[in-house]
Amino acid sequence: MISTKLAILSNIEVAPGIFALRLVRPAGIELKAGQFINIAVPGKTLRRPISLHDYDENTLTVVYRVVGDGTKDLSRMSEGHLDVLLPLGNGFDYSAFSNEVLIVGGGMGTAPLYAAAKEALKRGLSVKMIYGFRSPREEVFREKLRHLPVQAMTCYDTEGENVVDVMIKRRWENIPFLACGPLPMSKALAAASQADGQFSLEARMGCGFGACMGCSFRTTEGMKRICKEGPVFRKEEILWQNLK
Amino acid sequence: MAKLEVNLSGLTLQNPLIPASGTFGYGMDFLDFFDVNEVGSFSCKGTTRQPRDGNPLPRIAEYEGGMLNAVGLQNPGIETVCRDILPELKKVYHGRIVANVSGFSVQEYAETAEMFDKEDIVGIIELNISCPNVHGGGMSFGTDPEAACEVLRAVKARCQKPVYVKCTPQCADLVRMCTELEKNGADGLVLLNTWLGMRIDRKGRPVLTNITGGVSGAGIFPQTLYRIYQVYPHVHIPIIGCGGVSCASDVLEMMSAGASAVEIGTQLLKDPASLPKILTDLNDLCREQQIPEIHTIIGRAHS
Ligand SMILES: Cc1cc2nc3c(=O)[nH]c(=O)nc-3n(C[C@H](O)[C@H](O)[C@H](O)COP(=O)(O)OP(=O)(O)OC[C@H]3O[C@@H](n4cnc5c(N)ncnc54)[C@H](O)[C@@H]3O)c2cc1C
Ligand SMILES: Cc1cc2nc3c(=O)[nH]c(=O)nc-3n(C[C@H](O)[C@H](O)[C@H](O)COP(=O)(O)O)c2cc1C
Ligand code: FES
Repeated sequence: MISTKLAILSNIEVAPGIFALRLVRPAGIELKAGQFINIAVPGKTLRRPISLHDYDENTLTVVYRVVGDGTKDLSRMSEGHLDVLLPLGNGFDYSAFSNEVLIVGGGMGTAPLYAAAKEALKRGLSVKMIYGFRSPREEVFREKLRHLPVQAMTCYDTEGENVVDVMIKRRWENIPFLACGPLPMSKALAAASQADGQFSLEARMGCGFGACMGCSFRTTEGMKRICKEGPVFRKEEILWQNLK
Repeated sequence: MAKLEVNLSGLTLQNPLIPASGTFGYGMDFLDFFDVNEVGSFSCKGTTRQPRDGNPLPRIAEYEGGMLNAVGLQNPGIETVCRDILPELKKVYHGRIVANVSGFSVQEYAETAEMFDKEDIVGIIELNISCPNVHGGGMSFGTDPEAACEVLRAVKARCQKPVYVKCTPQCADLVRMCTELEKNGADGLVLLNTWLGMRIDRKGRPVLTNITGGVSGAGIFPQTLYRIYQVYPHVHIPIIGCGGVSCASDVLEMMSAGASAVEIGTQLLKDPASLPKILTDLNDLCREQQIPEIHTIIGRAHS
C-alpha cells in the first residue's frame, strides 16, 4: 500500500451522473480485481473509496456515480493530480472457481466486475454475467463487455426484473459466483443461490487501511474490517444483519 | 535543527507529536507510510478488560471540518493486547507507548491499567474517561469529577507508571474537573477527547446507527485550544493537547496555550503519510521563529 499522487488522464461522464476516471498507474504496484483505491478529494477530510474498474500496465480506471459533494467535486476535476492510497483490501479469490464463474452486479456495484470478468477470463474460466440497472440509461459497460467473450445478461428495475429473477430463469443458481451491488440485491442473491460465492461489501470508512475500526462488523469468524480483511467476503462468513 | 524534545513526567519524547488513540491502532497500521520510531510516542486504541465489538455500522460520518466516529471502543481486550499484539509491536517500535484504557466500572479500569503497567513498552497510562459512544459507560465518569477521581485513585493505587486522564469537552466545569484530578494524583492531563455531535442524511435519518458520534478534526481546533488555555494556569501537571491538530503551526499554537505535547488523530486518517511532513515543518517553523528549544514555548500565550 502506498500514498501517492496520480496524474489524471481523463474523467469523463459515461452515463448521466456516472464518470470514468483514468489515472496513471504507479510503477511496482500489483493490482487485483476487487481491490479499491481511496481518493482524497480536495477540501474533504475523508477520502472516497472507489473500486478498481479496469487496469493495464500504465493506467487504472475507476467508475463512480455522483451521489454527494465529494463525488461531485471529483467529477469536476479533469486534469492535475489526485492524492490516492492504493491498492487497498483483498481482491476476489479465484482459487474458489474450477471452470466457471457467475458474475452478478447491481447499479454501481457493476463497476468492479469488469476487472473481475477480465481476470476470470485470463484464468481460463468460462464467465456468465448478470447486470442489473435502474434503467437502460445507466447501463454503462455494454460496449466494453461486448469485447469480452462472456455470456452477459442485463435487466432493469424499470422493466420489473432483477438479477435474482434472471439467475433463476437461466438456472444458474448452482454456479459459484462473485457479486457486488446494493445490499438488498446481495441479500437476495445470497439466499437464492445454492452455490458458494463472494461479495464485495461497502461501508463508510475513516481511513481505508485498517487503522480506525470505522468499517468493522461481526462475521461468523469474528470482527472484520471491510477495508482490510475485505472488501471481498465469502458468502458463508457474512452476517447480513450486521450490515447497513 | 531545533531541539524538539519534550518531557512528560520524566519520560523524554524526541518530539511532541503523538498519534491519538483510535486513529493509530496498535502502531502497526502505518508501517507502509513511515517508520513508527519517528513519533514522540503514540497512544494505542482504547483498550478494555474484555474484547468489545463496538457499535453497528455505519460508524463514520463527515462534516466540513473533519469527521464523526461512533466506533464504540472496538478492541480485542487487554489480555490479547498484552499476549499477542505488544510482542509484535516491540519488534518494530523501540519507544514507549501511551496506553489508552477504557472501562465501564472502576474495577475494570483498574484491572486493565494494572496489566498495561507491567509492560515495559508502556510509558504512560492514559485513562479515557470521555468516550461519548458507549451508553452509560465512559461518559458519566468524564462529566462527574467525583466518579472521575474514583477511577483515577483506583488506577493510581495499582500502577507505578504515570497516569494521565483524558478529559471530555462535555464536562460542564472542566477547570474544576482538572484541578480535582490533579489533587487526586493525576500525573498529567490529555485535553481533549471528541466533542459530541450527529449528522442527518438526505432522507432525514441520522447517519450513524448510534445517532451520536465523537466530532474530531480541524473544525474542533479553536475550541479545544481555548480549553487548554483555560485549564493551564490552574494546574501544575503536564497537559497533552488533542483535538484538530492538522499542521505544524497548530502544534506551536497548542504548546503556546499550555500543552507539553500534542496528540494528532483525524489528520493521520486523512493523510497517513503526513506525520513526517509535520515533523519537518515543525523544525522549519522553529528555525524561522527562532525557537531553539521547543519546550520553552509551553504556555507562552499566558505571559
Ligand atoms: C470499498 C468500496 C468501493 C466502492 N466502489 C465504488 C465504485 O466503484 N463506484 C462508485 O460509484 N461508488 C463506490 N463506492 C461508494 C463511494 O465510496 C461513495 O459513493 C462515495 O464515497 C460518496 O461520496 P460523496 O461525497 O459523493 O457522498 P456523501 O454522501 O456526501 O459522502 C459523505 C460521506 O459518506 C461516505 N459515503 C457515502 N456513501 C457511501 C457508500 N456507499 N460507501 C462508502 N462510503 C460512503 C463518503 O465517503 C463520505 O465520507 C465504494 C465504496 C466502498 C466502501
Ligand atoms: C476513529 C476514531 C477512534 C477513536 N477512538 C478513541 C479511543 O479508543 N480512545 C480515546 O481515548 N479516544 C479515541 N478517539 C479520539 C481521539 O483520540 C482524539 O481525542 C480525537 O479524535 C480528537 O483529536 P483529532 O481532532 O486530532 O482527531 C478516537 C477518534 C477517532 C477519529
Ligand atoms: S476504514 Fe479505518 S479500519 Fe477500515
